[in-house]
Amino acid sequence: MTNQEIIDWKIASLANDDNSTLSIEMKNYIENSSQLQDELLFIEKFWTSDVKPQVMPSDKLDANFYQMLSRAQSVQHNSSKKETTQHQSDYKSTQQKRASIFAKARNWFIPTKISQFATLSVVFVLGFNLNQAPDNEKMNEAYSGLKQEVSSLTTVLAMSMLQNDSASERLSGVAYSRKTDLSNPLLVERLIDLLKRDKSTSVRLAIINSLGQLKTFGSSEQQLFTMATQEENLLVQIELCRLLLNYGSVDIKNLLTEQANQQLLTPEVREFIKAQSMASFI
Amino acid sequence: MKKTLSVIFLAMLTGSIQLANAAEKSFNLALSKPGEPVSIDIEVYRGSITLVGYKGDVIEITAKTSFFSGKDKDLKKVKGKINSDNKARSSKGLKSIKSQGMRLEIEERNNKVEISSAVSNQHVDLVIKVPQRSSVEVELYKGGDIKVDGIKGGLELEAYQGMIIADNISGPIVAETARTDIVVGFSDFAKQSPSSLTSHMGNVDITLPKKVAANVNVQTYQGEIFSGLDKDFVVVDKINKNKKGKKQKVTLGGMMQAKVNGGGQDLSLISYSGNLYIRKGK
Repeated sequence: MTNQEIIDWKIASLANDDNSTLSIEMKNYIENSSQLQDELLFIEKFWTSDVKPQVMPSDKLDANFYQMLSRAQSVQHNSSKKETTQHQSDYKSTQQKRASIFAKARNWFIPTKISQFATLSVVFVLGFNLNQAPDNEKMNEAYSGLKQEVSSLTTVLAMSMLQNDSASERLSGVAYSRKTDLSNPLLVERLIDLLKRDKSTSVRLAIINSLGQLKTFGSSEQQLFTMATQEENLLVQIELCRLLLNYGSVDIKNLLTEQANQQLLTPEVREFIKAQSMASFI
Repeated sequence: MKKTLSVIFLAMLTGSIQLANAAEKSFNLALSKPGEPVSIDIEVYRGSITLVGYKGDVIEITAKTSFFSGKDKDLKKVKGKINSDNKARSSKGLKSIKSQGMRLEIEERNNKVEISSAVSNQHVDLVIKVPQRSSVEVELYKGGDIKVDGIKGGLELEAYQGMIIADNISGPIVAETARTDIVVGFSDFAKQSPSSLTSHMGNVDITLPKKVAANVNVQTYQGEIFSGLDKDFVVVDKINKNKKGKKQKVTLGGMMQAKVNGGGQDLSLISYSGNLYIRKGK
């Protein structure tokens, strides 16, 4: 059980408007983490609040985002600070050494000094490696955890904005969805649903552009193919074809080319598919 | 000669009918929450809409309506279907009286204003003065143009037959036409949400002030692109790398982008067969 799983469950339950009960394991997990409780409360409040057009994300959301980012940055900063401190101390010592380098050079070649230096170097290298590895792992874990949390919040924000009446806000929602890696299947589902029915061509085209980020279309591929062949909006139809020809499976590309060859599509779309196919040969 | 005369006569007759049936009314609508955000939603089946922003808190509506006596293929289809079973009864000895009543609905609640004229045989020319801060949504199905001047709030404009002409605006704006042009002169450019202008077969013409920072995206399939910007447009290539090194997706072509003044919020201009014009303003 992880924070991410709980947050995903929360988003899913809010998006589907159901109050599916928590398992005992989940309940216990939440009870043991006050930070997670706060985050869930924040997500719920944000989701249920009425997001008005022309109103920017709430101050609380901003604050939360900036807090997240500053935490993420501080983790990065600490990591780089250590390196910087190391560099600075190296630089200082180099400067000092340079100042007295000629005076001390001869002392370096005294056997006792060489052995002392060698021993110190070994201790330093061992100590550095032994101390650094677990720290970096912890920092990386913390950083990736924070990145996941920020991604979850971006998903919440995107899904909320996609429901907005204003086309410009929905475009913002699509832009936010692009900032996630579209790993949340609910978000993808919401985008495809909007692609089917949104009245704004701009929003639909932006969604198609975002879907290009998906690693694979999976079960949505057939839906996208059906839309591409039946769509009445020429701009949307062409971009759907471009999406499938660029990122679709070989089977879907063949099906689409076959549709074009059998003259089942409009001349404009046929011409586009033909041009795309020729370009792929080059 | 005879044909020319009959055409003139018909035009005079039509003009006199329209003049006889024209009605003009003005109405001032006080907002229930002065000083607070205003949203205006206008839906007109046939006519033209002019919106002018001003520093006031009253919405001033002037509506001029006339009976539509022109040809309308869609209207004929609808009439044909409706009247197919009901034959017209004898009108011998009766005078035809055209409806002179203006049918325009205006509603206001908590600064949300809705204005609609859904009557298919009524042509309505609306001139509306609105507070500058208003966010506006307009849908116009048939007839003339949508004109907007000096509105600083968000705009969502859809014209199916006429042009969209917006001047002295800052957006965000999402506008769409089918076969006609979209002409937009920005006085500033809103950062909070993306803007997008889509004309399926018409031209898109924008003027951006010198100081504005934006990511200007352009895409036309059969038209040409003309730019007066200092910044060059470059093709946006998508390169999605898989971390595990298994698969890489590279998409070349599609949209072109110019990061004006270092880049900023997205402003997309899209057309299938129209040209795109990007002009540099003051």
